[in-house]
Amino acid sequence: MLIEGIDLRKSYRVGWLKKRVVRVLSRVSLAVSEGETVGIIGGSGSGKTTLGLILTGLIKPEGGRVLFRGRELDGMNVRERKSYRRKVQIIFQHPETAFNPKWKLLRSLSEPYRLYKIPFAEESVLKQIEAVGLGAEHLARYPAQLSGGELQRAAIARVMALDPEFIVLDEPTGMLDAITQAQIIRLFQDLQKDKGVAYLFISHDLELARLFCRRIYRLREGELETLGPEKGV
Amino acid sequence: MGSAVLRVNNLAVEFPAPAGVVRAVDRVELAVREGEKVALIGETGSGKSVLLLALLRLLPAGARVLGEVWYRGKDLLGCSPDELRRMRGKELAYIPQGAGGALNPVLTVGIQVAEPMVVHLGLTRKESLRRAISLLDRLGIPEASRRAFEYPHQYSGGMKQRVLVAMGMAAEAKVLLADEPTKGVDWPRRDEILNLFLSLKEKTVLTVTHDLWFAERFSQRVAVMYAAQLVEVAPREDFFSRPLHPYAQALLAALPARGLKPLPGYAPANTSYGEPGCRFRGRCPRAFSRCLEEPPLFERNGRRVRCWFYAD
Repeated sequence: MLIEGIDLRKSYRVGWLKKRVVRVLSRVSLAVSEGETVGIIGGSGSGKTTLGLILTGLIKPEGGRVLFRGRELDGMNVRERKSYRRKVQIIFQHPETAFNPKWKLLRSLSEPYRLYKIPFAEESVLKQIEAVGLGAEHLARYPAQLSGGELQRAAIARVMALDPEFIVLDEPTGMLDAITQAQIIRLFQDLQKDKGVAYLFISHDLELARLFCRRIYRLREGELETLGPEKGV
Repeated sequence: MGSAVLRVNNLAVEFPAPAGVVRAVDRVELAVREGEKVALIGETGSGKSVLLLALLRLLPAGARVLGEVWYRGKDLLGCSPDELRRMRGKELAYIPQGAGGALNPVLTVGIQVAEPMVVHLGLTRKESLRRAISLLDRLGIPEASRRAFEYPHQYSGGMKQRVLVAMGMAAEAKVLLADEPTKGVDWPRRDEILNLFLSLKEKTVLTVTHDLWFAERFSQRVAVMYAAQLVEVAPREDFFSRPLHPYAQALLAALPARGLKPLPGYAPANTSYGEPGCRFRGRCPRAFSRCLEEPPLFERNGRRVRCWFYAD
């Protein structure tokens, strides 16, 4: 098993005085193996993003455990933690919020190399973005000069620089038109074939999930229900 | 369905840019009949939202708008600003995208819906507020008489979209111009917005959208824009059963329900619009030598399509 969430629980305090408690996850368990795609379907506020954030370690659950390659997140030493941070990535619905608006794309895309001390060369960034269908001309632009589809490709390129093993895709095509959506989904499939990366695909579009995922769950009132195995395309 | 209530003749919109002038809307011809529902579809940057704003002359001052926009025998582009101000909201209303900050956060919802009635219908504040409440109630805001006194942040996304429609209808405008009513909205809420739009039976609606699910259920006619030009105009059933333009065909084939087949490549950069030839030819599976010339809009059985493939 690549990544596992066991009995995850999470609630938020809401309202003006934060007095009301909303439970978004109550005892959710989910496991994803290497190279597979699992879908999570749910309406707004159902907790599907929360689940993605917990698995990527960006927020802590109130109860339950997250295991990456059998190691519990809480018990990891610094080195293990760093490797987990690198191998588990997330892509968001609004790519424009994932880029510094004052940086040209080249600088944003070289950031993972700096953070993880990967030897950096402009050619490697170029190879990275050519793999997602962008070109050298895009590197000199600011995020505001790129379309939603181009930015989402850039976000994918940045994540792929780290050779991730598991990526949470949080409504990655929610803001894109039909053709761009199809392009991006096919790109995810190609990358998976190539690199064997596993995905957790979070969406409210069951039809799309059916084409993309092997297993699909619906998150409703804090619990996962199985929607059965699906045929991929 | 009667004669054209809104007629766009040879409309072009130009913006100054560092690399020269960019034509965001290029020679668009479109007529919308009384009571008709038209969906204007196309990808981000195709110029559809700019077209909508140009109709109401709501573009920034730097934009140059050429051509004619006729509304009931009056050229909106030739009107004085005062004349236009009296017509906006009363005759033609704009419904902005709901997700963004289109509502004033420091005014109650009721006051914002009532304002057009005070301005255009000369009602008193008390009367306009009473009507605003009944309008909100009609559009499905629960407990409208209480919630009219709440602020936008206390409303859900779907309810805010309802409020924007209520504001558009407040002064009894007959023509509604809506910008992406379902953008970034999840499934149950999308259904809610569709039902709301389907309830606007007697209104004439021109809506910009890239949501084909919504366009198929709401509109009677579909107009497709690609790289600033209209490339196809067709009745809804014809369009969704047999799209003519190769771009329209690719658009439908990319839908999850129709196989998620992606068309490779991107739309051309808006700085290259001045180059001769069909703007779609770089991505077109059927391109041939003639595509180096710009195709006109061909008429074919009541449909229009900009593609040499349909030349006689």
